[in-house]
Amino acid sequence: MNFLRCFLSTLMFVTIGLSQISFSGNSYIGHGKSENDFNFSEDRIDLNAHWKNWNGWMQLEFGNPPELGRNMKGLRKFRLEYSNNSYTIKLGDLYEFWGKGLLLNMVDDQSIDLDTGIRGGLVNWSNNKFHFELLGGNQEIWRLSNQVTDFDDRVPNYGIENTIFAGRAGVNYNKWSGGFQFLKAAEDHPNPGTKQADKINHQLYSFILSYFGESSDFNIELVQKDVDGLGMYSDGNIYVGTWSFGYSYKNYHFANLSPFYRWDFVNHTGGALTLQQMPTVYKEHNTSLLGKITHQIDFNDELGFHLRAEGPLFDETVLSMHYSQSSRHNEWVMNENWEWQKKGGVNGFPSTNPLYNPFKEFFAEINGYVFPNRLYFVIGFASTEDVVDIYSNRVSGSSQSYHYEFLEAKTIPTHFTYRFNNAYSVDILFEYQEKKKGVNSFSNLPAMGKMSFTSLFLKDKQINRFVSFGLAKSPKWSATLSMDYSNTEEWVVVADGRKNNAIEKALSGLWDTSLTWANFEFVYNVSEKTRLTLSYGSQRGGVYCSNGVCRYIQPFENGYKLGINLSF
Amino acid sequence: MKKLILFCVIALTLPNLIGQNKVPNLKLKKLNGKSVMLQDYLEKGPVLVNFWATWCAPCKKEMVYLDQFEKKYGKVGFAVLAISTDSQKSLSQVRSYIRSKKYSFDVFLDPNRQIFKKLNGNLMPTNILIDQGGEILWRHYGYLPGDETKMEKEIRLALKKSS
Repeated sequence: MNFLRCFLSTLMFVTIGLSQISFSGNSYIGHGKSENDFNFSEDRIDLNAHWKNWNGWMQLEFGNPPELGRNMKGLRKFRLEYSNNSYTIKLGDLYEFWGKGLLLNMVDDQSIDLDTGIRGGLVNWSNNKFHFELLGGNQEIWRLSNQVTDFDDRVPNYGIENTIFAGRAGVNYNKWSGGFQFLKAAEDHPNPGTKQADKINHQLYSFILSYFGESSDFNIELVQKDVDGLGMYSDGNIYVGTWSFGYSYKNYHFANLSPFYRWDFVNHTGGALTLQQMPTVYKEHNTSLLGKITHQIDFNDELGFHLRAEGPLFDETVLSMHYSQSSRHNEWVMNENWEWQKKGGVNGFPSTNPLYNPFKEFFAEINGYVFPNRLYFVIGFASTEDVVDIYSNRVSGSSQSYHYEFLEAKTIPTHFTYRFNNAYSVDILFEYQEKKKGVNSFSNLPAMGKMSFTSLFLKDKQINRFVSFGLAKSPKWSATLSMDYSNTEEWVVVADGRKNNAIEKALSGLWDTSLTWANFEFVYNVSEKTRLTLSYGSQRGGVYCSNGVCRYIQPFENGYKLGINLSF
Repeated sequence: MKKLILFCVIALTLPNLIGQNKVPNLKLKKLNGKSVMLQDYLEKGPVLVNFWATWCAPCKKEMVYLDQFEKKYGKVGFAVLAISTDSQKSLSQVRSYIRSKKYSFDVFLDPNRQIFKKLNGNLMPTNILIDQGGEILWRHYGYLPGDETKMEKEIRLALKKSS
């Protein structure tokens, strides 16, 4: 009897208690199966609750295996938060973004499987003029490296642990604001040689100044890391009527790593921290072909700028132009023992010398509506040049010889959506790209004959076309057929071979489909809160980048994917 | 498969059994870095929260209609709050895009997607219509040409309810 009384009173208490709390959430269910074993089963549920000034969040994940990343079953993230007009207190998993991200930018980017959040606590106090914030906690960052064993395209194999303590204070005065930030990190860095964790301490300090006016704005952030690491970022815009003219500038110099060790974060410590996700200072692309040739930023050693102009051409049409350029700070030369040594240097503006890993890109785009909101269009053009890697650079007396890998591409992305009188619409995407990728070899020895080029493709130039046709009926469904075509593949990739799927076989009468990846996707909105996605076919593999951080995603060959998004 | 079915059942039924669907009084960060509370807007009338980004083509297609709704129903207390989820890589381009299009609605920043997650944002764009009491009246993910017809209908219903 006592048990029953106790049970009923608890049930009543819980029911009344819960009815005061507002619950909401969303979930994602994803499954995929392909002929090349890119199989995954990933289910996620996010639950939010709030009551008065309290908020709670938790994320459950069941991935076995997930599309990218390590297997997970159960509670992945949680946070409890209290906030009023002045104070905020958070406990649990934190994702904070300070200033422009030069000192602290915690992200959970599932597209490249990068999670730089911390588990700990945060206290913030602010009013209209001042703000103060302190946070602390631990983090575990997993990344993919071929410097340690168990390398797998989909599963990170190298993890570091950090204990973080950071703070910031700032002031606002009219159109100006400024602030100071600090961060201390104690890193446990597994050493593959000794099989033990090296203890490394990092200290960072930064200063921010911003101006936000009616016809212009300006930001600058400076960061110092330990003794000799320095970073600077600045951006600004001037507004003339509806036109804007802007710039961004970066100068990140946290480590000097030779071309051979440039991307080796396992054996070399002391550079930029993974939670320093800084602005990339070039135009971010989201089209299929341009996305695959995104420049991979070196947060340790890169300087550059981005100039842009944007404004209306006609009533609903906008012209946008971008020019970006960057390089490393130094040239690297091999001595007589084939060891790399730093030489020369630039510090204000980027170099165009190929031995400084220069990158430059011009991008222009017109987008908007014509025929009073009937036809939406995007027409763009991009010219990209990127020196990806330096293989060698030897100087002996007056003679010099060097080899470097470069990429050069011209891309035309277009997108048209036409809306009919009823709820139907058609959507056409067409993207064309001419790409050269190879090794340039130079020697000023008379017998060698100056510059020679060796393509990394089976042909001198790769031609890529991405086409997609879509038909949709608002608000219920859309169907899209996508085709990714190429005339040649890289030497290292072509050996894999592949089989055509049913769509590709049907297209084989029209062109050679040995290098065509075709995919059909159907999206059905079951209700406003439930969305079902089904796809069949193949998706081309390649390098995918997010915020300048890139990783190779393997192709998805001849399979199906199922996705369900639910919210409540 | 059993786990998948169980997962779907839990995801669909649990939230319907408990609680209510209200939004917290969120602190929103404006383009100039200053903060404003969501409640300040809700006091005047219903609000449509729109999550977008400069790299999101469907978001840009939809925005022209959001601006029309703001201009049409702003006089009776309705407001569109366009929250940009652009991260640090494209944050500096948000203001210039809005100015070039002459949009009149208020724009906010959510670079690490904390507001997006609190309001159960799922895909881009996400639209959430909230009444003056903070209750979510309507939610919509993605944009297909023609979706604005349904959106306007929901806004009218929200305005009718608030009056």
